[in-house]
Amino acid sequence: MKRLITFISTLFLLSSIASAGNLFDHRLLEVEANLPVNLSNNYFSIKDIFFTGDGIIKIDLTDMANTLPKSGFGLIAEVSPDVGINLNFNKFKVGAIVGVDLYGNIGLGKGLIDFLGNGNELNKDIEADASFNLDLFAYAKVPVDLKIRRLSLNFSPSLFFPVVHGTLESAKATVTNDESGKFSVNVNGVAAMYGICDISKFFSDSGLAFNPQDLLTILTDAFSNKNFGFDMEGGIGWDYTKAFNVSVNYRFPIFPGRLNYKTSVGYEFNYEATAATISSAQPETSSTPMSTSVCEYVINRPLKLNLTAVFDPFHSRNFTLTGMAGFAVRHPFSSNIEEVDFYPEYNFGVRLSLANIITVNVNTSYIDQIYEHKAGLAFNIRLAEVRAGISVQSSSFITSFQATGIGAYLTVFAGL
Amino acid sequence: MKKYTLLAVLLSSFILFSCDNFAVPSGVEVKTEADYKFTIADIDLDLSQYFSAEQLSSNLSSGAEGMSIYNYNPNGAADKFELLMDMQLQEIPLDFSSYLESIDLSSSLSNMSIETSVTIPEVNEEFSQDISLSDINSMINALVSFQGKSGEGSLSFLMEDGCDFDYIEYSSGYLTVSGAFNNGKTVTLTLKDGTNLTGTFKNGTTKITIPAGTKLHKNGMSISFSDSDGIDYVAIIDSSSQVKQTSGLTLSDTISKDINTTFSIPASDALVSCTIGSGTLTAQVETPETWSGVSPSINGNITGGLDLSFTDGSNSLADKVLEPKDITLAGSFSVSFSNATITFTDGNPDIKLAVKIDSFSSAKISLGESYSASQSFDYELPEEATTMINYIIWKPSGISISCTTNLPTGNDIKMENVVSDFLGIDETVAKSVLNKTVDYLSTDKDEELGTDYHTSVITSGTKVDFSADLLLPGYDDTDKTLTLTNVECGQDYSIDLNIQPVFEWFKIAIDPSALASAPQTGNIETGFDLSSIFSSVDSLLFTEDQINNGEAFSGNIKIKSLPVYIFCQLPSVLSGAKFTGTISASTGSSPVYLLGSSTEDGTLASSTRPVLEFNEANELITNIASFDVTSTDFASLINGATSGSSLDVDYSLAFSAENMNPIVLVNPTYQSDPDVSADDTALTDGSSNISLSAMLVLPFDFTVAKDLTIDALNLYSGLDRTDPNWDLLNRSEAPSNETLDKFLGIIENVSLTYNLRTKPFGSDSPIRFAITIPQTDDAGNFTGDYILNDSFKLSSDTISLDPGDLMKTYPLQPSLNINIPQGNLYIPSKVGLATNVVVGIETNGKPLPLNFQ
Repeated sequence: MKRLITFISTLFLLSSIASAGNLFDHRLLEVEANLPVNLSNNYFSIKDIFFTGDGIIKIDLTDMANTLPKSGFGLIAEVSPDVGINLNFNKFKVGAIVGVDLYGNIGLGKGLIDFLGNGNELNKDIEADASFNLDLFAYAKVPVDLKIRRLSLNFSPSLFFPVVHGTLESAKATVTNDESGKFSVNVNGVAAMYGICDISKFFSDSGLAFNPQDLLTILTDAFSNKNFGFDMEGGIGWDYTKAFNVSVNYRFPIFPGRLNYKTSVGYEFNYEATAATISSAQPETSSTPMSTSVCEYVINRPLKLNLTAVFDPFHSRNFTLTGMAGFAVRHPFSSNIEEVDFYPEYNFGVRLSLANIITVNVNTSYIDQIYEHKAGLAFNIRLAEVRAGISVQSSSFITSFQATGIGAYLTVFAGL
Repeated sequence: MKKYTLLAVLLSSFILFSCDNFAVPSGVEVKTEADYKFTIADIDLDLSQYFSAEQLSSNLSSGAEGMSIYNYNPNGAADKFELLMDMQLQEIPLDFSSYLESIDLSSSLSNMSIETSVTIPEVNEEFSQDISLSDINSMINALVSFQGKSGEGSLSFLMEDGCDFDYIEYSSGYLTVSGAFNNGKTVTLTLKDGTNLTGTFKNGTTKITIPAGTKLHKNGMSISFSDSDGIDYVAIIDSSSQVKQTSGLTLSDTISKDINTTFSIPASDALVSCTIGSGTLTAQVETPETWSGVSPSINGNITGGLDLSFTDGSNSLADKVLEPKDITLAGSFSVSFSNATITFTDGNPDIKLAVKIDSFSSAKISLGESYSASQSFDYELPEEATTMINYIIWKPSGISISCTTNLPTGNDIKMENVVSDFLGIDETVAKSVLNKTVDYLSTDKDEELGTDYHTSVITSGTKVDFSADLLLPGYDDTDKTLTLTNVECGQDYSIDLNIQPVFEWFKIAIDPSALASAPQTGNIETGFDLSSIFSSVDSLLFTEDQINNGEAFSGNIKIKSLPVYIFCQLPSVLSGAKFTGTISASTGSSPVYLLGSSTEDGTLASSTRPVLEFNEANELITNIASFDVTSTDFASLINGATSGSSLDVDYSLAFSAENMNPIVLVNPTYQSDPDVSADDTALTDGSSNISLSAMLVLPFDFTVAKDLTIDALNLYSGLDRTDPNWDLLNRSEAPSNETLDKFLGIIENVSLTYNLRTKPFGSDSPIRFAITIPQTDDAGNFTGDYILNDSFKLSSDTISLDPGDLMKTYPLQPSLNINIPQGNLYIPSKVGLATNVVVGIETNGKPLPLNFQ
């Protein structure tokens, strides 16, 4: 048995060496696990939260009002773990990857912050709004890379499940103080969560009531209901010279995913008083209990298109400069035009590698509406490769340098 | 791998904790430097309700008859609030025809007038109702069922005694045969024509279809079974089976059906009833022509607008009374069959009812409960008239009757016995007034005066008399109805009969000496007391202590002026006439004389009383002072009045004229009449009354004897200051100082900004106000007043507040004292209090800890 294992290992090693210019370029067969995590806001830095000296977080509302952009305060979280297996040949690569994309953001409108930080104009309405958006996709894709002379092709057909999509259909607070001295406060909000199943079943009076055994049923139903969608990622690259490669990369929705259940809950608060009745007036509140209806909500993963250029001056791939510019559309082709979110994307990076054994890379980018400045380190001994990095980030370009958000990633490859 | 993880955690911990500033978050502090502004109140008090003619009228202790009070705004340009009291001392009309107008002959005669219309109903109603064949079908089906024992062959029908039939032909149906027959056994019904109908038993029953055209005869049919003999069976025709024809049908029972229908009579409200001249009610049942042996009958009653019973055939309605009510026909239909032949496809029996009225012999019409066809009345002339009038010469006067109708022939309307001694009318003969205008007017001449007109000599006890009788067709004074004859169905009839009095006086001779011999005296208790006027204001603005201590308006405010104007209007025909005597006013002390004195009469010259004009706000805008009339200032009288003493006006005036001979006044309409002599005097509209009136103008313009203080919070209805624990912030308990301190610590400044748009007072000296807050110790004992400021302007200003003093003081019972300085004070013409209050809060940027651990 030992002889057999030794023989096969030697065969793979020889094959790898024969097919690769560098022993550490890649493994012929590998498994990978990738865990990137990003959390950012556009005002509070890590220092503001963890390095206050006395443990007291100090919120300067006036500074917030004067500093924050018109869109107000924003918090973004993004987690997209995946695992896969790849078969790499010199001119051809193919793999199978399954993963999850979780993206969520919470926004607090500028109106409330301006009021708290700077005050108000007499008899002018004070308005505050909030936003919330959550997308969770599970996907499986088969990436394929082809190298034909100077042309490189890669495409990755993806089958994705839109697990859940959450949004605030309305969230607004209005305080009116008119010239007669009357105060009125109106707060209303309606939250909607679209899912592949009835999400309300997972909530009980005591909190979450999710039974993992239901997962199989949910997935079975999702398949039978054809909730899955299909999109295509890929790119076409051309080695303009040995030192310069340009490529066009894309992700195009082909067939949208569907969410069949809409669970919504609403709340409204009204209060009206004068100075004389302000302590005795009673507010009127009403809430719409959590309810679920059958619907067909169509959703796609973000559409992306960009142009990437890679400069490899020494033709060694030990030192490369990368530039990317493009755009993305979140919720493309949505029937609700307010949910369609267009934004640009860019990335500039430097990669320095020592025979692909130790690699350092530095990037600055704006991807998925996050400004990110990232530094990464990779250590590759062919049989295993570990890539790790950290980043500072924010949804605001200026505060992205102040560490108002952090990110980290850890990717592990193992194979032969 | 574990080693690497442990190493990473240790490395990270070392980096974090090696930084001096690292700390796990344990709380939050919030700070802000903001400027908040809120409008907390907009007060707009309309105090005109306290300063108005209506308010003064309600405050007068007794009020005064003949006195009117107006909001006075001379020329619409007054800047101070003023009232005018108009007191009518005397008013004697010289146009004595007004006395006659006051005698309400029109109302009395209106009871004789008629304005009515009626529509004679037109009745031609028909009602029909089909008799459903389903009942007959069901009864026939019951005849055909039969029973017996297998093997007998012949049929034994189940019909009741008295029933019979020859044959029954079906268009569809089923025959169900039941018995203790084995499954698979058959039954065969052999018809008279030899046709076999066969069924196979299952579970003891079989259902045999009856084909269309099948005739089931009572005699000639047989039945056979494939099973053994002697088994009881019963054959029932399904109830849904449809009969097409039957012959020789005899039923022991009749088929009955109730009928009921209602229709209304279109008629006008005035119609009471109509007596029918000719008319019929027809009741009949029609059966298809092919049917024979069928005997229908019908009978019933009519109730409501008609009342009679009816039977088959034609029922006469002559002499029946029709009332405008809903008419209900209720009856019953029945049909019997004896050796009958019926074909169902030829139609159904049909019930037909018809009510037709060809003519009415009469119609009774209501004239209303208050109607009276005869009038007779005597009116006494007022004593003033009989005293001063010698005689009245009339142009033709009396009554005028106009009558328009479309009544049919034979319904005449006449007037008779029109008599009036006062007007010289004596017409006893009945005259038709149908479709014409007839006047009953005085026409006799007055030979003594040489005129062609009737003269009424007026003496004490002279009465205006009148009587007349109206003759209406078939009039019943008990029911207040008339009965028309020869009316036609569907015709509209109307009567428009109007009787109007005619008073056209030509000349009136009056005796001025009668006026002179009746001196006019009187007393007007105005009830006007300055203290009473201010008493309502005092209770609104001042505390009870202030009022009791003489620190309110009453007693400290003197009126500046109170001019009184006397107007004596004398008609030009009484040239040289005048009033002599005295007019005095008093407030419980020595009177002040406007005319004459306590020892000597004065003489009032003629002056024109102004015509009073009002603007849209119902303010009197006529400038009384602009008229040429003497006035007297009562200010000293009012200011010197003791509390509770109201203003009384006494007058004693005698009328006199230089020419005391009788005056003959001519109606202005007939000034050109040839019978007018040179000695007669034309009476014009503007000089038809002798009028004596006084007008008192009260400007709310005062002198203030000493400084007065008003607590403006008394005007704020949102506070219940009778509650000893009332709190300006409406709190029910003292706030927590600990919590307050945390929040008050971040407040830099609190300010109240107000802008007074409308002021309740005006003064030559600036009016200012002060805010004081009584302070108490922890035990609730009063420790002194905290004076916020004592010289805020009564226009617009900003008050800076220490929120700690306000919020921590409980109960917060501040005073907002307006200081009215000694000197002049007036009430603006637009009196009120309008201001808005804006609170401003500035924060100081100090941190506010939100983790209260």
